[in-house]
Amino acid sequence: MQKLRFVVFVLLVSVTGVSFAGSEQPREAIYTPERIAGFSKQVERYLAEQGAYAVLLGRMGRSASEMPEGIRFTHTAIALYSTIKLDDGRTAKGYAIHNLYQESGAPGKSKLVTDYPVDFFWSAQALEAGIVIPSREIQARLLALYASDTPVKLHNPDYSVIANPNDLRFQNCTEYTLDLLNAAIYDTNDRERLKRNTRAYFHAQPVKISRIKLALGSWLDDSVTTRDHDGKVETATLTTLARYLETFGLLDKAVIVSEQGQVSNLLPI
Amino acid sequence: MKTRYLAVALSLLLAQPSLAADSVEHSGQASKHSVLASAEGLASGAVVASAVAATPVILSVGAGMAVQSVSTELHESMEGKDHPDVLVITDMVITADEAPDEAIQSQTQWQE
Repeated sequence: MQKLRFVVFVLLVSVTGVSFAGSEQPREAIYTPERIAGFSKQVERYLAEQGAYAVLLGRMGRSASEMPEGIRFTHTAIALYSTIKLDDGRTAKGYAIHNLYQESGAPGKSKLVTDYPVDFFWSAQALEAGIVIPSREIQARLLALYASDTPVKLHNPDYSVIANPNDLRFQNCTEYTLDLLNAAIYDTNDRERLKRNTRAYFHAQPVKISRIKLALGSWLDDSVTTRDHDGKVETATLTTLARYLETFGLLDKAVIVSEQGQVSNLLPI
Repeated sequence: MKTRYLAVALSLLLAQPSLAADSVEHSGQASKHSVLASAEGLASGAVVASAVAATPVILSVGAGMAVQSVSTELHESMEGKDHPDVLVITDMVITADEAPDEAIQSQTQWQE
């Protein structure tokens, strides 16, 4: 009985103390609207100064201390330089962000949503942006991709926060971004072919987290599963996407932009 | 035994990073449009606007690059350029959220 109590206690502490599913809860902005709007426009201006048409953009939805080693940005999406039609009929030039978002009412599912920088950074835990600018040719191909139905075809609504990018069964925002990148590179929306090439050329980020926690997470939370992993758990991150592009000469720039205006390298030199 | 429980609890709480994702739409808050529109510290002249659609600008980088242009006026070319031009962006703060009057209207319709 004593042993059972001990096991239950440990389980309860694990579950309540360390959240697997904080993203399910609607979180309020922790910065003032002025700071969020200012930072969002600062990021847009940086992208515009680089002449960037298609960019991989990352935000910090969790503080760095809460994240597993090697993972800094919690959400990745593709920002495209666009003509934006406003509700009053006017148009404006700026960046529209194409996201795969976890469904707030169904954490094991996702949907595709277009939003804008101020929406993207609204509840960021730190006003830092991860920015990966692909080569001009990849940018052109990504833009062309969004003129087709490929972004919809490549969306798998079965969501896992630690989705294995080598496997088709689950997808998270970063794996989706990788699938789009590979669709642009290989000019295909054949998902099997995309995964074969991912397995051949892409190196995912090992997730350094205990087996017990992973097991508990997959037991208790619909957005966590290890079913698509064989052996060690690995997932795609903004940094591994940048490294992938760099390895094959398809990267223009990978930086972190802070609210203070500092621009630092995303990839260790 | 209490000490043992406490030690295990602390080690689990402190040693494990969070796996929680953040790929969630930031739509659970009060209307961003109205919050932004009423923010006193926005840069002078900053206007908040709601977007209804976005069309990516199509870019071509060379003669060998076949891209499908959805509209010639949205087509821009990098051919012959060593460095990309600085792009023009609006000073407006654009949000996917509805304007306050539309939000009220759609909520009223929903309630009916």
